[in-house]
Amino acid sequence: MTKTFNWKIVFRTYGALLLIEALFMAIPTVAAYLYGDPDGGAFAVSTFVTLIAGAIAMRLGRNAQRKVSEREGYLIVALVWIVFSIFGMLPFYLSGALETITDSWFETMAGFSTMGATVIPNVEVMSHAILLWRAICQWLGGMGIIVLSVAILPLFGLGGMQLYAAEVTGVSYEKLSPRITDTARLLWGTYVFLTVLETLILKFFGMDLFDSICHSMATIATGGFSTKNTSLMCYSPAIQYTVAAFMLLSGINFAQIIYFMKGKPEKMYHDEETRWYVGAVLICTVVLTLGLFVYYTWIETAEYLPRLLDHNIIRGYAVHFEWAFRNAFFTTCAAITSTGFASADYMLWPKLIWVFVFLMMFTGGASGSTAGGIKWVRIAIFAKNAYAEMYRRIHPNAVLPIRFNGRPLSQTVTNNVMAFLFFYAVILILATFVFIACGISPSEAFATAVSGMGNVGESLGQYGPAGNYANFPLIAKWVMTLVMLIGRLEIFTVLLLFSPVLWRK
Amino acid sequence: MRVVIVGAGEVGTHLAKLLSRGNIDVSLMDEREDRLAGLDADYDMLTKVGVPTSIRDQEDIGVRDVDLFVAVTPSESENMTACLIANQLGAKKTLARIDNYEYLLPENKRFFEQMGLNHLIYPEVLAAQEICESLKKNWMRYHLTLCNGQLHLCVVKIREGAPMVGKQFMSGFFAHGNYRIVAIKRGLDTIIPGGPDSVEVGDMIYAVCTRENMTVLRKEAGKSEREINNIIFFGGSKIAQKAVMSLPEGKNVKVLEADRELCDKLSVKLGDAMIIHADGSDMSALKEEGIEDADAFVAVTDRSEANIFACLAARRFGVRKTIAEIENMDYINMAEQLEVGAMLNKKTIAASYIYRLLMKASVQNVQNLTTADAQIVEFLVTENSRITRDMIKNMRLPLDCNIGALVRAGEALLVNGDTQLLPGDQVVVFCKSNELQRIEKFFK
Repeated sequence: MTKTFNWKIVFRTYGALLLIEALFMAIPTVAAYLYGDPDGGAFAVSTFVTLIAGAIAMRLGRNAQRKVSEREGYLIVALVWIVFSIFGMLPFYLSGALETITDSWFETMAGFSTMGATVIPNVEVMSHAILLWRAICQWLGGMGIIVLSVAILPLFGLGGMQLYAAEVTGVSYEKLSPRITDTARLLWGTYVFLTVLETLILKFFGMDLFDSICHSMATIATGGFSTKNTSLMCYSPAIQYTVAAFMLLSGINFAQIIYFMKGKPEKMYHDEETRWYVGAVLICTVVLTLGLFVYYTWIETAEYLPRLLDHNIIRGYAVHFEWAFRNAFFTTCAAITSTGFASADYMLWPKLIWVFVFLMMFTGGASGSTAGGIKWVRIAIFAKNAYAEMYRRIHPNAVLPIRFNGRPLSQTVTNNVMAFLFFYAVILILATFVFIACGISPSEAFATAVSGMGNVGESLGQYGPAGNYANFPLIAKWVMTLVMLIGRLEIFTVLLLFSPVLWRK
Repeated sequence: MRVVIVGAGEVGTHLAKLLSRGNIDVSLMDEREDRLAGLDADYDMLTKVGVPTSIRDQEDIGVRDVDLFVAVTPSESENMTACLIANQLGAKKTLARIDNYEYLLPENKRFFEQMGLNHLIYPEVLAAQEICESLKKNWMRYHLTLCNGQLHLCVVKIREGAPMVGKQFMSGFFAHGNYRIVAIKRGLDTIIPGGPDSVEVGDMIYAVCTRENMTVLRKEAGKSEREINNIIFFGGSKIAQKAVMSLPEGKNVKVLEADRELCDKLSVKLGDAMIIHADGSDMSALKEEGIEDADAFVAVTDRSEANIFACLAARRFGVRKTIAEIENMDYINMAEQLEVGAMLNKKTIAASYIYRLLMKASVQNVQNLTTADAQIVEFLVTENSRITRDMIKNMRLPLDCNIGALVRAGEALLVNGDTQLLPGDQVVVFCKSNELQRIEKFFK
């Protein structure tokens, strides 16, 4: 480690962030006392421990120079998620809700990384405080811990942008205003606004307030923790449509949502990535609707579907079609935005359909959204590059810049996308190997790896929408948390930690 | 306050960086992506790739209601067009960088105001003015007039044998009524001196005084006044041309320029000066042209390195006043230690000129110092501002600030710890960069 490495600012940042975490941990503590939950004490202790740790770190980093270079930035961002999770798992472990450290760690990491896969077989017996803390974990992780701290702390000064850039998803970031703090505030403001809006709508459609809050936080963060074992299967169509619509929204770049709300909707309509993403959702929804409708109307009738009514055949078809459309739309949104909620157990559907759902889990939403996955901007650049390569075979001398949003992309961006996809594939393969070695069936191993990397949550087989990760092997759980983190921080930030480039003098 | 800058060249980028450190929202636009690369990550500013004269791009970056629109692309007509568009789109004030001296003439000011061009800036002319000023007051490194000429900031390099060398501030040597040393630059550090500090050989002192007391300062700093008559310019750049034109009559000026074509043009343009087709970095050529008899050597080619070395060479030949144009900011500190002499930086000059236009009402004037990472600020003390509550020594001012002098009821006074400021006072404060906002709070 070089002399110039600014350790103090790292400590100071962690101190401040832990204080923020303690603040958020205080919310379920209060909730525990309001609802009379037995684990209020565990939450109070966790809050206190986090508070003390934060204060000590602040003290260690006092008089720090407010200069964050790229190295410190990457270190802060990559490790902060781990530090956050170490303290975040305290309530789960201390309250006895989860028996082992492994499970507590997995659950917390699945929260912060917004994967939303649970190891709790029966979430409905969990206390309000635990359920609320799961929701808050996801909510903090969704928009990003650093983005939040940049918004509310005057801590970073010039270096804030480095950290911000390391945490925000996608190929490039968009500054919405000259000041980084203002940008972060706009993002978090929108984030809070959407969450509150969804809570109110869910409440209006009859979900109880506590569940509305938890589900809204999970939706906007594209997390996927539910307060029910059956996810959203047990709720009314109105609620399912609402959640699906908000999932769709959360997969859009928040910068575009802000332009829209600021009265510049044309910017959003013309944004190429938004078009790719929304277009993909539309096409997948149509394909899935037709698949479900055709299959269950003419090929096989399922038990749980309303039978076609003889006396009113049109109405019967309409009911079928609505069912098919609703589930197609919901499942598409849940898979593409990496939320991982379920309105139905797609594992009960024909194989071709759930393989289709599985493929959607690769894509992710738009960059700058809370969604995980590869992101549409990368897919678009990759596809355009591949097409240009074909074109060049026939016209070897053609000048073919790869354009995105009307601007030619620099070679650096294309290289970055290629490198990203390469690492994405490598990590998927490695994780699959480890999972198979731990005794998971090959198809489930690959599916859970994809699901973890894309921060989706649900995958296939026993880890599908109706299942949970309780019986996931021990080592696989630890590896999975690493995969989740790599996926959330989009690979490079985390991989750099293991690379000598960061540590070399 | 919001500022939009178009043109991410040297001046634009430097200005944007300077402003983004203060309390100003800066947006920077340029046609070329590579010029903007990395800027918005390293500095708190918004960057955008766009055409300066495009109405849509200007609207996009938010020119409406912007407090100042600055156009500093290399092209004069592009700057003016951009300003006209910005003015029509609702920018409150506009500023364009120009290349034509005619536009700066006072009689044309109204004409441009009517068109929607509020300020015009010609960095080369500003730099030339600084050269002339520096040649006139040649015992100082820099000189700034403050508070409408009632106070002066003199920056002096202390050489061996000066009376003030080795004297501690509390020793009673310094007649604090005559001048006040607000800062000392020693090596790379800028020191705000206290009682136990002393002046040493090689220090650069920043002193505030009145015009009458400048002689006292000069004598104690061990300097003598000389008339400069023989001046050699290295490089026939625009700055050199403007400087030669604005020098007083009767100076013996030689301009060394390596480009034959430019020499021909210069000989027509600068009738009084002797134009010599020679490379100034060629020592024998310098000797031939009488470098040993020169009183001043001004190196203003567009290569900072060549300017630095030429000045070092000139010093070796015994030239006492040397001025080097150094555009590479990183070189400035190093050049300072190499004894290059006075330094000149077009970017800082232009940027601080614009910066001054922007300061708030309580701040009347800000001057950025090229050599120290610091500013000289003039504040007007208002009713109820915090600074008037007690004597200065009890105010717990930021450590990197020093209140030097004040003008009260038309009379210039030096300030010490026992001074109590009154509303209406005009105060001169020396403060290191980034401290401006903290000191500003005391004057609100």
